[in-house]
Amino acid sequence: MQEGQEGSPGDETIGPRETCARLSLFQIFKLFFRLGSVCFGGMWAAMDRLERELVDKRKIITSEEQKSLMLAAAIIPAPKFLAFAAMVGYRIHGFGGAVVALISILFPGASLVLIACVLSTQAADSALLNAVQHSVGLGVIGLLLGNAARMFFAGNHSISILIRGLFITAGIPVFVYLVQGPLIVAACLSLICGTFILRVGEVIPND
Amino acid sequence: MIESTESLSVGVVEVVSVIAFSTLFSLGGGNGQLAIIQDHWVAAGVLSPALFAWAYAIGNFVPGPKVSFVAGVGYFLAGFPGAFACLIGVAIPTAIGASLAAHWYERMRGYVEIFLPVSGFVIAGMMLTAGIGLAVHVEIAHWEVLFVFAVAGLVWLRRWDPALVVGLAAVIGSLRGFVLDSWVLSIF
Repeated sequence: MQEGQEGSPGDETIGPRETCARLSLFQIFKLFFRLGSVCFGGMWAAMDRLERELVDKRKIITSEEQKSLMLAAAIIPAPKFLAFAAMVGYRIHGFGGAVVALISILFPGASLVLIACVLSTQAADSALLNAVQHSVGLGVIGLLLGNAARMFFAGNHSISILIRGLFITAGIPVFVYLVQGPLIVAACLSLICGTFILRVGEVIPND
Repeated sequence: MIESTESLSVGVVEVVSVIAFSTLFSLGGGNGQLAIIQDHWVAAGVLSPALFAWAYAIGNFVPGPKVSFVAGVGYFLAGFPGAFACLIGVAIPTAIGASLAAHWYERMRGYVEIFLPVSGFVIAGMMLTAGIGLAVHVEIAHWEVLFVFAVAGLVWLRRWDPALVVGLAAVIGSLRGFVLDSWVLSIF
């Protein structure tokens, strides 16, 4: 791969490259640990801060590359923010950089979650905590149902596609709760059958 | 109700495997991971719905990727080794997938895009299943059903952030707990 060509339109790889700012693994750890400590609300919400840190301040990637990596992170089967960090880490320092980046960006949040869970275990008998947990549980159920609706209607599909999509979506709980089949099987079957049902190419978002 | 984690006996290998597999269902930004965890441990009675929801709720309040909630799930399942196992489970497929994607972005995009159109419907189905699964395991009063649907409507139509939903639910829960358990009961 010739230097200067990577990341250009039509290029097939956006892997580690010579022109990318070369940071040591420890520097990658420090960078992503800090990002993991200050970025709230997921990858898209943290876009500005990521741009300031990675594009403007450290010049690790360009603004266009950042957007390209964010899109790539959204289409691979992994949590977006983690995948984005790993892809940037990979560009800087190969696979080792990817591993260090995702561990360091995950570490602050995971540590706080763990501390909160440990503390809440200590207060297991608190009626107040139980009431809060019950309400939060209801909120999470609403969140799941609302997000399911959002995912279903995302993409501005035509009525015809939505009707077919309804069979794909509803088929999963039907398979799990009425047929008593495993969710994993239901999801995989829906993914494969749904691809044929929708016939790729027909589902084109209006925007 | 928070339970002790000492009595739970989920192996770390199982935790790593299930979480790693569930990570593959994060395609397209949807959190299909929740559905896999709910189906495998909550529906099976290994993890209580309250603890599962609690870990997820906390994950929405901390900085960094929201998937950090799996550390809480792992802790409730198998203590600190479980939390560590969950993080490993998330990290392995993500590191491999992201590295491959970074290296062969254009080539892989073609294959992934085959499943993208249907992924929204599939993940919607998985989230619907997870929501139903949680609701089945929680005692819900009639008025609370309205609360659940109000939240669902706000999340869907007004795009309420999970942190806002969880924060509001926590405030309502704490007010309710405080009023019911402290004031009213002490007075009467």
